[in-house]
Amino acid sequence: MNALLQGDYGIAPTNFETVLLAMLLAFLAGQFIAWVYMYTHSGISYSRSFVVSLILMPVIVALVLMVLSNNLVTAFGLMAVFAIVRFRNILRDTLDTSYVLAVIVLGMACGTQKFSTAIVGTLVIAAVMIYLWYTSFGHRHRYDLILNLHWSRAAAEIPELERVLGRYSFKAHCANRHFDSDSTGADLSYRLLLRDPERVPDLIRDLGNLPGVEQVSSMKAEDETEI
Amino acid sequence: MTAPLDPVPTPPAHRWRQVRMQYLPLVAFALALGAVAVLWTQWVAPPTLIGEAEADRAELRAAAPGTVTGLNVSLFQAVTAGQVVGYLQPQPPAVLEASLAVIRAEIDVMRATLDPVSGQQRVALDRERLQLDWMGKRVELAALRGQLLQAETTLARTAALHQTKMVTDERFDEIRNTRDALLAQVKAQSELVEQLEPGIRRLSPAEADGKVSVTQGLRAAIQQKESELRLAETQLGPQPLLAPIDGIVTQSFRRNGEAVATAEPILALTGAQVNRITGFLRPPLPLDPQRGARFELRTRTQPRRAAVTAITQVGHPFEPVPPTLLAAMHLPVAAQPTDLGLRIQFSVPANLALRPGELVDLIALDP
Repeated sequence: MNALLQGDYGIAPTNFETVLLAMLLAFLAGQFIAWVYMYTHSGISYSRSFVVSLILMPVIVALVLMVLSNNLVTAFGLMAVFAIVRFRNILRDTLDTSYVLAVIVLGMACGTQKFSTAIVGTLVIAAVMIYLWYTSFGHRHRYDLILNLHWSRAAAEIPELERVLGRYSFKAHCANRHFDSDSTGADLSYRLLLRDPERVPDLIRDLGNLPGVEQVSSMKAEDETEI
Repeated sequence: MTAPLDPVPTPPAHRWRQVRMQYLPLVAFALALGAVAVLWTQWVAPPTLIGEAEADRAELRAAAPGTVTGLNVSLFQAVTAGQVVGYLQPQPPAVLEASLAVIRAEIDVMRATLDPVSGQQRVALDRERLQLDWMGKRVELAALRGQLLQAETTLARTAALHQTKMVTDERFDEIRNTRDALLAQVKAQSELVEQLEPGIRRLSPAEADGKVSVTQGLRAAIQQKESELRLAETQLGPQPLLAPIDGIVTQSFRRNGEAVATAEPILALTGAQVNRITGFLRPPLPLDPQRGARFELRTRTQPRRAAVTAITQVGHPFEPVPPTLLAAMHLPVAAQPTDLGLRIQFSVPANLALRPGELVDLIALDP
C-alpha cells in the first residue's frame, strides 16, 4: 500500500490525505448543488445525466488542478488535448464530457509521473460514478403509477376510494379532480407510489369492484419524469 | 368511519430499491461529510505560525594556529562535553626554534647587564646568575626537543621513502643517527636540568627587608622570561581538542594534517535534544503573544503528531525571519533580509521526539 502511495515524482511529496480531502469536499459540494438544482428546477428540460455531471465535474476538476499543480505548461497541454478530443467528437451529453475529461486528466497524471495520484484519482472517480449509477442519483422518482378514473358517487364518499388506494400505495397524491357540472361525479387523476409494483392488476381489479368507480386507466410514471 | 384496509406486503427487493434511491444518497453524503470533518480537523487547520525545533549548537575552534592531528570523530558521531576529539599541533618546530632563540638571546642580554652591579649585591646577583644559567639550560633543552621533534618528523618521512628505495641507505642512516644524537642530548640535558632544580629552589630569595633593589627588577624580568619559556615548552606538545558540549558532530571543517588559523572552526556540534521551538509572527500580528499562551503543535512528518505547547519567551524587536522559515511559509527568499517578524519561543512537548531543525505548525488555542 505504501509503495502505491509513493509513486509520485515531484518537487514535494504528495500528501494523499489532502488529495482525498479535496476530492471528498468537491463531491460533497457537487452533491449539494445537485440537490438544490433538482428541487428548484422547473420546466421540462430536466436531465438526469446533467445532474450526475454536477456531482462528477467538481471531483474531476479537483483532480485536474492537483495534477496541474501550478504548472502552466501542463495546463496548456490539458487544453490542447481536450480541444483535440472535442474537435473530432460531438459530445451531446454533459455526462459524456465528464467521462472524457476524467480520462484525459488521468492520462495527464500518468504522463506527468504522478502515478499514485492517478491511482487514487481513478479509484475515487470510479467510486463516485458507481455510486451515482447504483443510487440512480438525479432520478426524480416520486411516483410509480398514474391512475385516472371516473368517480360517479358523491364527493364526500371519495375517502372510500382512497382507502383502497392506501392499501396498495405508500403515497397517493390527487393531481387532478374535475367535477361534473351536475355534481353527480368527478374525473380523478392520482399519482401513486406503490407498495408492490407487481400488484397493479390487483389494484385495478379492486377498484373495478368498488361501486362508483368507472373508466379506470393507468400508466407507469417513470417515463414521464425523465425528459 | 371505516377502518383502513391491510396494506399489501412490500417485497424486500422493492423496499431496498426505495432505500437505495431515497436514503442511500443521504447516507453517502453523511459519511463523506464525516470523513471530510475528520480530515479537515487533522490537516486543514491553518497554522498561526511555523516554528523550527532548535538545539544548542557549538563550534570547536582552534585556540592557536597549528595543525590538526589525531581527529578521531566522524560525522553524526555522538560526543560528550570534555571528550578529547583530536589534537592541535600548535605550530611547526622551525617556528618554535625561532621563538626559543629569541628567548635565549634576551636571557643573555640580562646576564650581561648584571656585571657592573656593586659588590654588596654580589651574593644576590650570583643567585640570579645561577638561576639564569639554569634557565639557559632549560632553553637549550627546549631547543633540543624542538630539533628532536623535527628530526623525528624527517625520519618518519624518510623511512617511507627509504622503503620504496627512493632514499639511499647512507642518507637514511645519517638521518637516523642525527635523531639518535639529539635524543641522547635531550636525555643528558634533561638530567642536568633536573639535577640543578633542587639547588635553585633551595636558594630562592626571601626578601626580608622589602626594599626595592636592582635584583628585584631583574628578578621580575627573569620571571617574565621564565613564563615565556614555560609557554614555549608547553607548545612543544600537541594540545587536546575538547568537545564543548554533549551532542552530535554535524559538520567537520578540517581533516587530519590540515593547518588552521586562530579561531578557525574545526568541528560543529549540535545538541542531541531539542531545547526550544522558535517561530516568527509577521506583521500585521494576528494576536498579541503573551508568555504562557497555549498553542497546538503539529509535526509535518508522517504520521502527523500533535501536542500542546506554550510560549516561553517573546522577542521585543522585529527581526529578520530566517530563510528556512521564509521558504516554509512559501515566501520569497532574498539575499538581503526583507521580511521581519517577532521572535517567539515555545516549550518542547516531551512526547514528540522532535529532531533539531524540524519544522512544525503552531496553531493558537487561546483566543
